[in-house]
Amino acid sequence: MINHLIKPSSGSIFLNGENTTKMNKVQLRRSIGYVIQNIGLFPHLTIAENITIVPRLLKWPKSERRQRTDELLRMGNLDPAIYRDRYPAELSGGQQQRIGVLRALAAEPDLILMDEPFGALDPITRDQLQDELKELQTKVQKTIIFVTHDMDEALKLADRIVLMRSGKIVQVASPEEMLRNPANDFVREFIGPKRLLPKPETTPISTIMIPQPKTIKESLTLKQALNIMQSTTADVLAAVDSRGRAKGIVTAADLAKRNSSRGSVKPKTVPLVSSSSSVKEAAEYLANGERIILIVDDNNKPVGLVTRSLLIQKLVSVFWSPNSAETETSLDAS
Amino acid sequence: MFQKFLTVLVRRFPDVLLALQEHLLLVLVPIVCAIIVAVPLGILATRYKWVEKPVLAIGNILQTIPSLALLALMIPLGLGIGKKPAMVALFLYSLLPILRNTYTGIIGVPRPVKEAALGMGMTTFQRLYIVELPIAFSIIMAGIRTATVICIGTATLSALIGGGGLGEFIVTGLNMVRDELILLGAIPAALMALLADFLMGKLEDLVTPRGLKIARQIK
Repeated sequence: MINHLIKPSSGSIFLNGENTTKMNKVQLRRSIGYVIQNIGLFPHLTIAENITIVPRLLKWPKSERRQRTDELLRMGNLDPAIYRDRYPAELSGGQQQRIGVLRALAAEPDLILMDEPFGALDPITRDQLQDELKELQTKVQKTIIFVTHDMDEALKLADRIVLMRSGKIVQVASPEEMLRNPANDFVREFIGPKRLLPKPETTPISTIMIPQPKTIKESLTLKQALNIMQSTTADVLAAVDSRGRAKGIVTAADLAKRNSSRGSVKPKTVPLVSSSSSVKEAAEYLANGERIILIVDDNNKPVGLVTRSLLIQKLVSVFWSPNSAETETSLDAS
Repeated sequence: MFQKFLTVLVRRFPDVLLALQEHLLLVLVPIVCAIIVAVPLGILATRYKWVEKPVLAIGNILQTIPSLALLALMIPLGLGIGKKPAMVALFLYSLLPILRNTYTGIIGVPRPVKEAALGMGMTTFQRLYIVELPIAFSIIMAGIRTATVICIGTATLSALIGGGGLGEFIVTGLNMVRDELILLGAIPAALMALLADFLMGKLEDLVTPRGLKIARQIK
């Protein structure tokens, strides 16, 4: 609709502030790069002629067109000497669509439309072309409107995703934002539960804590504490009173600082956080300088602990993992 | 019989040449006119729905009329007898193969190719001469070839309404029951049809863009 191959039933489309419904259709289309789903190379023209079709329509001189062909082929990692004079039928599907993309770039349009360009390709080629497109985009810096039904493709390529349902916009957001805050159930379902990012506000801390920490009675002596630590190989123990309620923690580092092994363990007080609190609440403690927090149940008994490094590790795995679906399963497991 | 044919061929060789020339004209004029009319009509039929149906229907009807009847029809239609009505009838008869092939050739251009042409910002005219006609050209040529071969055969009948050509020998031979005269018309006509078919086949190959030939080979 943007290039008026389809007439809008109502309303207008503005391009750089100009109403496209009032523009000359032919000129409009020449100013917009276009990549279609089924490639649509002209079978009777050579690759060079295909690539420079829009410059030809715009009456660029021949020498300039030739130069542009070689430049584009090189940009697409295709050797001009080999491909320039070939015909589309001599190329594989993936190569053909590479040419399709280059053809859209030829006349240096500010805007490029891609209508499910990789939909007809096999998964491996598709993946490869997506990577190449991303790389190409960093070189040419154009606005690309990319239509797809493949959420993975959208998440991989987009800076901003416009999710549409029966002609209406459901949500406009960056991929991260959409994963974190789907606008409604439709979006959630479309993204699929596996891809949704766990939200720190609603994810309970219990899903990421180190469960069942080794406990130690606060009345024990330092020496006994050291023995327990050695036998369990834990370097953080949760100290409890005679009724099993959390009183603080004992760390190997703290014990090492004490110059005598006599006396009681003197647990260090740390924030006690209910196991039903969210990751976000717990994270606030850690962000405010605490190194370790204890997670307790309703009876104040320690059920887990979270260290700063554990939290960072979990965050990293969520945001930098190549596949967020994997992260979620690993979160569940831990 | 063969002996008789040879003597009559030698004796009437100048007449045969003249008839050949007439016959050629009887074919060329209608075919050229048919190309001029049918190709644009075929293109128009692909562009406008309201042209498509009536044009294809009329072409079909013309083709279903027996050739002899169509030739004879020229007389009551007021064109009388002679070369002119014969040419008109042959012209009408040649329309359909060219029209149909032009139409199907252009309609048959793959959708993605058409969409790309439109999306790249080609005007209707540019789409036609940059994309659709080159791709459909060999199919249109095939239509012209079919029309020509049919026309060479049908033109022998035009002698019946005084159109001249090689058919004269056949009609006379039939009337006088002289086989050698029938052959004198039939053999050159058949040779002419074969030769036309061969030459136009070559031409068809020549006008097929290289890229399309490669595509066909691969398929």
